[in-house]
Amino acid sequence: MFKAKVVVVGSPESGKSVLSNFLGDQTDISQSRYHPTVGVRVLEFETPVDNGRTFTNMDIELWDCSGNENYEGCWPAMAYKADGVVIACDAYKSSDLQAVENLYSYFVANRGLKPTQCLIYASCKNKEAKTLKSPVASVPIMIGSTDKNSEDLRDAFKKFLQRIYGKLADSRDKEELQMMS
Amino acid sequence: MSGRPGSAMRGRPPTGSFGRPPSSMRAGPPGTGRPGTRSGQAPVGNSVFGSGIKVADRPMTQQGLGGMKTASKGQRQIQDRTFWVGEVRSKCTEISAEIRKIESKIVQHQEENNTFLMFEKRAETLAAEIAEIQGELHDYNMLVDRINMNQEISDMVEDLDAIKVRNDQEADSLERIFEHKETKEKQIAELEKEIHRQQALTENRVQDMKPEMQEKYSKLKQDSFQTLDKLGKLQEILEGLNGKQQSLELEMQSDIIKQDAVKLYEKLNELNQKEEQLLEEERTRVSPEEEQRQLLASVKSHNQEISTMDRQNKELEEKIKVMQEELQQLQSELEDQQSETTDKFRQLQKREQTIDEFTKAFDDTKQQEMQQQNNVEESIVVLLEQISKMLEYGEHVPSSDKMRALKDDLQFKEDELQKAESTSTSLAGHSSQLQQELAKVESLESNIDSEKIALANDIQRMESEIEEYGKIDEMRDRIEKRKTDLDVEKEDLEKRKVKSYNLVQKVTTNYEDLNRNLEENDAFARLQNLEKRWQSLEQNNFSLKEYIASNSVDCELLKGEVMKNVSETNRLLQDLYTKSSLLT
Repeated sequence: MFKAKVVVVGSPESGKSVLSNFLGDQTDISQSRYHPTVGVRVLEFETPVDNGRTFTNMDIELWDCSGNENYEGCWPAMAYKADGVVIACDAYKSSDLQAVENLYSYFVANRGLKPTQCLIYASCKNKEAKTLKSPVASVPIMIGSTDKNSEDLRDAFKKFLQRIYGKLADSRDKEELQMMS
Repeated sequence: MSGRPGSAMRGRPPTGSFGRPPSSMRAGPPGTGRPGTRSGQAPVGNSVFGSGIKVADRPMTQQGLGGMKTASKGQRQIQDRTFWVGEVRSKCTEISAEIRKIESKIVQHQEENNTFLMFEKRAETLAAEIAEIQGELHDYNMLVDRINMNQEISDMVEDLDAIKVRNDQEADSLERIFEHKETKEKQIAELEKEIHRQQALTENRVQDMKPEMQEKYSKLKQDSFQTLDKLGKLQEILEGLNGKQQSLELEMQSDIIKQDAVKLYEKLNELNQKEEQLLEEERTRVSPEEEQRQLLASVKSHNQEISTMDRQNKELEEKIKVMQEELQQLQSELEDQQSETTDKFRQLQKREQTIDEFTKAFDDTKQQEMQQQNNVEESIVVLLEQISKMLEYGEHVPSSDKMRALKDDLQFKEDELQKAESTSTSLAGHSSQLQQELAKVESLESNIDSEKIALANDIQRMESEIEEYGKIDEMRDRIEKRKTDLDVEKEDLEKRKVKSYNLVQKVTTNYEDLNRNLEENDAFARLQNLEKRWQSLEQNNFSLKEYIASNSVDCELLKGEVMKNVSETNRLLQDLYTKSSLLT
């Protein structure tokens, strides 16, 4: 059983909370009106992950972080010991795409995380999906919205979790080896 | 009785001796189709009435005629024609006079009648007035009585009010009764009408009937009339007998023996009846064996009946039990159903209540929840910031190896520090000791200094002294010189001493002489006495002065006042005097 902390960050109104609710199987997904997240919302849920041979359950701690810059002081706490980072952005906002790079550098590159432990989510909301190149090379991107291609998003997230699982398993093995030696 | 003479004369005979008038006379109203009673009564009344009139009339006529007869006796002897004519004439005149007299009397009577009617009316009104006044008087008398009985007027007023209320009530009830009576009368009239109608109907029907039936009807009617007559007659007889019985009873009341006899007869009758009863029983009685058999038979039959009844009773009881059980079952089922439904109903009610409450309190709770959410969010932010800060600090924290090294270093350094501290403390102790010593030394030094100065002074003095003592010869010379001077002076003074001694002796002798002279003088003695007295007086004076000073008071104010008063009184006296002198 692994426990993973996944942080969802991104510009304001880029659909982080909606994505988090969707992934965390929360009930009030789309009906409620927009309410900016204050600080952070932590969603805890269990999800099966394919570890190659069998499915094992994985405890996910999904940190739905506020995109407001006022809470930049809280970023260290959010980034602390994160196993995976989901960077959300509005596919139709170029400023968001630039912000993604900053976030990537802060949350991923500076924290010693591999690009595989990161996922970029470009939300299209009610507009048509458009193909986008990942703003940061070597980081996979998933495009769409929870309303339309929800299954695609779920699959992408599953794969992302698999990657994290692999990392976690590796690190655990290493630790064990260290303890043995 | 005097107010209603007519009715008494007509309806009721003056039967003072009769204890009770015949009942039929009282009960039967006139004209009810019972002529018998009237006819039976009439002769008695008539005879009494008639005899009364006769008795009343007779003496009047006799007197009038008697008077005339006595007057006519003892007249003229010769009775010729003229005499008769004269007689007749005189009679005629007498008759006419009589007639006139009677006529005038009639007129008078008529007048009197008229006036009598008037008077009667007046008397009636007056009587009514008297009755009224008498009632008033009665009221007043009662009032006076009450006042004499020490009753309060308020009580009386209350009584009066109560009585008034009662009167009103009674008047109301009277009116109601009157109305009731009227309605009853109306009803009676209606019923009479109905009866008449019915009679007419029956007559009509009779007329419609067949001749045979008509005949029969007429015969029956006649029969009924006859029987009615018979009934009347028999009632008459009964009344007569009743009257007789009453009269006989009245008679018997006076006689005790007869009453006893009646009682005894009654007893006898009773006893006879009893005897008859007993005889009857005797006749119906049968032999004891037969009776026993009969009783046995009856007992058997009764037993059988009882057993059958018991059986029936048992069956019925069983049935009742079964039915009751069924009833209970049904009731329990009913109750179960009811309880289930009621439970459901209650649950629904509760749910409804909760929903209602929720809808009612929704706004408040929403606001509260929002508030709470805000609070939570704020706290989240605060916590996040704190965590971030702590993490930033944590980044600067070195790894565990370094930490260990640092710790060791720290330990070592701490040891060093401790050592240094211990040495420093010991040194400090040493220094303090030394300081104390230093202080002592300093004080010694100061003492030495002062000593040094004193010694220096001494040295100086000694040096000067040495200098002085160095010139010994000079000094010796000086002393010698001085010695001689003093010797000279001594001699001189001794000389002077002798001289003065002589002088003193001379003076003393002189003085003694003078004293002796003085003592011998009288004046001196007197003077001495006087001096003594003067001294004593002076002393006295002084003591008195002191006494006065101690007792004297500041009397300036008083003095002024007193002076003023005195001057005023003086002025007044002067005025008085001048006035009195002027008057005289």
